[in-house]
Formats: sequence, C-alpha cells, structure tokens
Amino acid sequence: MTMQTAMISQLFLNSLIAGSIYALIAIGFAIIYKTVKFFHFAHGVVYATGAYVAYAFFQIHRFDFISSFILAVISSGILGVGIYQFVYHTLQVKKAPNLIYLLASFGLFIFIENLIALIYGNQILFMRPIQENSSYSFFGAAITLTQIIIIIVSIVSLVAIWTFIEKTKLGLALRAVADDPQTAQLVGINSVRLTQVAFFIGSMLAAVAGILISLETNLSPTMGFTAIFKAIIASIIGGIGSIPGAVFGGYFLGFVENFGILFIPAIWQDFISFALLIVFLILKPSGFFGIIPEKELI
Amino acid sequence: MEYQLHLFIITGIFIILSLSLNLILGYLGQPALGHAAFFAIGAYSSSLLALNLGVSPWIGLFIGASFAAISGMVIGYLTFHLKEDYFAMATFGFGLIIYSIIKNWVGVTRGPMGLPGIPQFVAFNSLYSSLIFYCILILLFVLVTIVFMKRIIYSPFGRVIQSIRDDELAAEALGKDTRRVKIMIFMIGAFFAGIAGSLYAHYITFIDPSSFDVMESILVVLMVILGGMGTIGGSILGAAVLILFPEVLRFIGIPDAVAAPSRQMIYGFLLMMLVMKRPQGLMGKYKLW
Amino acid sequence: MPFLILENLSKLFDGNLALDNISLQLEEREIVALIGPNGSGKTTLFNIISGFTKPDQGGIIFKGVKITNLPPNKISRLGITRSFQRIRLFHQLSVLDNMLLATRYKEGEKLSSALFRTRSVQEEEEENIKRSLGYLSFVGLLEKRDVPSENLSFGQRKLLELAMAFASDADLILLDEPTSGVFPETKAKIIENIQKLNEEGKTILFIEHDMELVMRLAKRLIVLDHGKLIADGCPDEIISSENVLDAYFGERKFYA
Repeated sequence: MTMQTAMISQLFLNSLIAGSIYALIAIGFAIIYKTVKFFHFAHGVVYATGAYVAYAFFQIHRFDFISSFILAVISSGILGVGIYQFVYHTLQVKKAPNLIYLLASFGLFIFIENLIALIYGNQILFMRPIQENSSYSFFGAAITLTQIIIIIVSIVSLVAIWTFIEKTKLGLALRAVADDPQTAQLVGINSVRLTQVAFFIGSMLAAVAGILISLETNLSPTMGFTAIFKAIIASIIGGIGSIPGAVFGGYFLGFVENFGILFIPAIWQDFISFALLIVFLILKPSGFFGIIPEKELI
Repeated sequence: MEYQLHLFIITGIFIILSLSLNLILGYLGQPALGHAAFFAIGAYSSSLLALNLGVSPWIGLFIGASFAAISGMVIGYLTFHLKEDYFAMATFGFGLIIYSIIKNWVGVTRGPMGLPGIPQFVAFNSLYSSLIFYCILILLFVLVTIVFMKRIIYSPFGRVIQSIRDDELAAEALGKDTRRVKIMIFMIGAFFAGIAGSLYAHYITFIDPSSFDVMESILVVLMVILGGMGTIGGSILGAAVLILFPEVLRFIGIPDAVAAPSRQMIYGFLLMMLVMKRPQGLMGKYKLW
Repeated sequence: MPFLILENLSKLFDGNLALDNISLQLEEREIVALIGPNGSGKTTLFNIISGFTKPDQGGIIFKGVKITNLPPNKISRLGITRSFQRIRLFHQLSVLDNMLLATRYKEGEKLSSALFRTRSVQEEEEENIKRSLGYLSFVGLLEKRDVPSENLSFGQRKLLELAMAFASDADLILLDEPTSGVFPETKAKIIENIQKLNEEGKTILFIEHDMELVMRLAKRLIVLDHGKLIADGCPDEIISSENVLDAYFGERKFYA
C-alpha cells in the first residue's frame, strides 16, 4: 500500500461517512420540502434534539444504547409533528407566503438551539457506546467499528425510506399529496394527516443522523446549524424537492468537502459549502435532478 | 455617566444599521438575511486600511462604505431574480461567506484573534477623542442617515421602491425597471451598513468575527421587523429596544452564562411571534405579509 | 402598418399547447373582444403580448417595433398597458400613489430626482398629481385618494384599475375581464370608461365572458378555443357560427 492509495482510501472513507450523514439529514428535509414546499429550517434543531435526547437517556439516565436510540428517534419524530401542528399549520390556514414559514422556522430554530445551550451548557459532550479495541483496515485506510456501523445504519435507513416511499401505499399517498394536494384531497387522502406523516418520518431521519454523527464526533448546541445548512445545500445541489436528488447531493457534498482538502486548507471547508450554496441558488436552482416547472402567472 | 454615553453611541450605530436594512427589507420588501456582511465589510476595510496603510478613519469610513456598496451591487445583481425564500437563503449564504472569510483569512484579518488597536476618529488636533465627541459624531451621522432616507422614500422614486414590495409584477407592468431599482437599493443599504461598520470599528478599537456572525444579521432583521417595517421611527425604536434590553438583563443581575442563551431564545421567540402574529411590529405601518 | 401584429405565436406549458399558431392583426383605435371558454389561452395571449411570458414560436410587432423578447417593463413603456385577471394593485399604498405609479414620468422617478429636487422635477410631480386627481374624480374615487388600495371594495378596485389605464397614457390597453364580479352600477361605469378610453384614441383588447357586454362594446370579436384561433370578425356573424357554439357548449347543442 503506497502512501497515495492509503490517503485516497482514507479520503474516500471520510467522504462516505460524511456523505451518508448528509444524505440522511437531506432526505428528511427533502421529504418535508416536497410535501409542504417551504424551507423547514428548524429541521436542524430536530437533528440536534435527537442527539441530545439520546445522550440524556444513554449518558445521564444510563439506559442501554438501543433503547436510548429508539426513544430519541421517536421523540424527535413527535417534535417534528408538533412543530408542524403548532407553527406551520397555523400559517397554512392563513395562507402565508413561503418566506414567512422560513422566517418563523428560523425563529423557532434559534429558540430551540439556545434552549439546548441553556440546558446542557456550551461545552462539548461525548457519547461513545461502542468499545473500540482496534481499527480495521480498508485498502490502507483505518476504519473503526463505529464508522462501519454509521455507514451501515445510514445506508439501511436510506434504502428503507426509499422502499417506503416508492413501494408502499402510504408512500404513494405521500407522493400524491406532494404533487397535488387538492386532487389528493378529492380522492380521499387526508393532506393534513399525511403532512404529519412526512414530518414524522423526516424528523426521525434527522434524529438518526444526529445520533450517528455524535458517535463519531461530539454533541454541541450549534450542531444543528451546520447540519441544516448541509441539508439545504445537498437538496439544492441534488434538486430541491427531489428525494434521490437529496441523497445524491448529500454524497456529492461529502466527497467535494473531503477531497477538497487536497486543494484547499481544511479551515476553508465551510467556505466551500457556502459558496456551493450560492452558486447553485443563483445559477442552477433546480440542481442536478430537480425540475422547476414553468408556471403560468395569473 | 460614561456607560450611558457608551450605550448612546452603540445604539446610534445600530440605528444606522437598522435604517439601512429597513430600506431593503421594509420599503423594498426584500428579505435580506445577511446584512451583517456589509457591516463587516465596512468595519474590516476601514480598520485594515488604518492599521496597515495609515489611512485616516475619515477616509477609511468612506472607502469601507464604498466597498460595502460594491458588494451590495454585486449581490443585488446576482440575486434580484430569485423568489423571496430563495433570495433569503442566498443572502443568508452571502452573510456566511463573508463571516467565513473574516474568520479564516487569518493572514489578513487575524481571524478569531481579531484586530486590536484600531485608531479612533480625531477631531481637529486632539490627541484623543472624548466620549462626548463620539456622541456628537454618531448623532450627526444618525441625523444625516435619517434625512437621506426620508428624501429617498418620500419621493416618486420612493413610491417605485414600495411598489416593488407590494407587487413586483404589477410594477413591471407599469414600466418600472425593477431590477435596476433593486440593485440600487441594495447598494444604498449596503453603503450605510458599511458606514455603521466603520463607525463601530473606530469607536470600539477592537473587532473580531463574533460581532459579524449569523445572529448579528438576524438581530438587525429583528430590529426592523420589531420596530415596524417601512417606518423610520420603527427602525429607531427597534434598534433602541434590542440594544438596551440586554443591558436591562445585566442590570437585574442575571449571570452572563444564563443571559446569553436566554437572550437568544427571546430573540428567536420574538422573531417567530412577530412573523406569525404581528408582522407590522410595534409602529406598524407596512406588513411583511 | 398595422398597430399590432401577432405572427404564428405558439406556447407550450408542461406539454400542453396553450397557444397554437396564433396570427392576427389589430388596427389603431379598434375595440376588440377576446373570447373563448376557460383555458382557451386568452390570458396566456395577454401574458405574451405584455412580455410576461415568452412564446416558444412566433413574434409580435407593435407600432413597427419587434417586442417579442423584450422585458415587460420595456414593452409597457412602448405604450402597452394591461390589467390582470386577479386584480393587481399596490395594496399597502394609497389610491393616489397607485395612480401616480401608473402615470408616465419623464425623469421624476429616478434616484437623482429624489436627492436633487429641481424645479422641473417638482413641477412634473405637481402636474401628475393634478392629472391623477382628475382621473380619480372622473371614475368617482376622488374622496378615496388617501385610502390604502387594499381597503377599497372590489368594484372600486376595478375602477381604480381603469383610472390607472387612463393615467398611463398607453396606446394599447389590454383588459382582462374588466367587469367580472362587479355590481351592475359599477359595470355600467366601467363600460362607460372603456368607451371613453376608446374615444380618446386608445386601442382596446379585452377578455370577457359576459356576452351582452361583448356585443355592446366590441366592434370585432376574436375567439380562441384550446389555444387555436377559431373565429375573427364581426360580432353578429361570429356569435351564431357553429364553431363558436361548439367551443362553448360542446355536445349540449344536441340537447336543444
């Protein structure tokens, strides 16, 4: 194994891990966006809440990790539905323009993020349920058990969600509501109930992502901000409203960020993400796979 | 007394910042969520010119504001066609880009360590500048800003600006060059934000990236919305309330560790509630929706 | 040279042919009604003429100038003004402000004019205010001049739209359903105003569903159906032609 190959392998691995996490949070965001057509910025704090609730159960109350994981994921799902019900639904009834949801979501995000900071303080927390004895080798790169689990859980979750959306009746109903809520209503589909489902599923995915990343790195109150940004960038790159696009965008972002350090110093990684966001928003808002249909104005 | 004068000066600077965003958000109706970027460009340009090239703060102020205006023009040009929520994300992204640059370009900006020892404004031949001098200086700039804004707004041009807020399509149908107007307003708003930035830097004499982050942009947006969009009095009120409120907290004796996140929580909650329930803010002339 | 020439205009939306090879010409001072069932492409045609939608095929020539790919504000300045199906006014601005925005300004609306208020700029503003008040008075909205336009009744908003068409000094006026949803008294007023506009030399093309009104106002009728031009000519002839009845009533004529 040469140094070059080892380095490439390591970068590939890091890209895979980062990409999987990004894809996971992006797909949840995309499912919600596809259903309601506005930016659910608060998705970021749902991600953070998932991690912190898991931490609370596992680290503080000494539950076993699997139970903590499940409880955290379900709590986040409920939080997501709650946000929809008490914030967005009120606005939907008033027929608010898209921007308003974004601003309200922003406000909610700031509120919850700082609530977390108030409760847990500003320090960095760690959650390490897996005993690492040694690392494994992958084409010259080192990979830990935690990392293997992250990749497996992510991919399993992504496949599970994809199956649910494409192959089940509920998934079909979800797609119907996303495409045309009025017609869906006419054929007896309860749009509100299905939007709740979308929020529940999307939020659970965010929580899974948040917990997984915490296993590898750490928890901090601002983790939600970074996350939602990646999710938005990934969704826009892949095509806003496109679920496969979000997954593609997530991995694309992961790879660009990690292989990018071959060319740019690591501290500029964030800058690359922000620049990508602006470039895509301005030049190609439909991303790689999205289509923004030309709408007739009234 | 000294501390009150300090508050007066800071409030004045943020009044200028708030008025500058009000032009873009309140009158033009464009949700610019990255306004701190222009504040930063003014502050850093002016400071770096003074520290590295010995440029007088008076000139630095003008140059810094001009750089900010040019950035405003570029951003306006790149984003004028975007729908409101995409526009909000793009300007937000721009704010993050500038923040990222001042934090990471350590060779120039010293990154998180900040720039200390920024020279102050001096009047005539004084060796130092008294607080009173600064109060008068800020007051003058605030008055100039108010007069300038009023002149723009209460004019046919000002009508055109507001027509874009109310219905851009209808404005185009009446022959208004909405793209040009948007870019111009961006430039002017950025220019005044740059002025505020420069005034801030040369008063505080030390700046670091933390004064120009995401929350700063959100804070200015909150000032404009809380005070009431599209009213000059509203922007002044909004700035005053949000600058003085944390001082009240400090006065009651709430420890900083609790105060900081609590304050942000209140800002978040306020933003959410205003947007949902009272989009016209306190002085309520125009509504966000 | 005909006033307005539409040549082979076609437009596709999401796979549907909204306009299918439309060609027609308008002369100055004509007053023409554009009719057809819902979804036949009438508003799309307006959007294309006024520049809000670009055709996939074909061109438009107005007063000898090719306007096909010009932005809406340039087309407006060449002398075309339009109303929208869903009334578009500047809702938070006053009635007078709405009027002033519709009025033609030579240079008053520039930034420099706001900062440096020369004699001529001030005079232009005063003149325009006078004219606007005059038009408002004519349509009966003078006392509402300081009211935010969102506080007007539906009928009053339609009248304001018309007053703004007067103020714009446009040569070609496109009206999208100018009397839909208004009470009979307001409808009479609107008709009166449209006729007045025409008398002052304006060319008017209007979309309407109210046949009685169409027959009263229009000297010429253009009928669209599913994006195709199916009739163009004198109202009396067209109204009884088979094509048109077919378009509107489909199979129902068999039930007569």
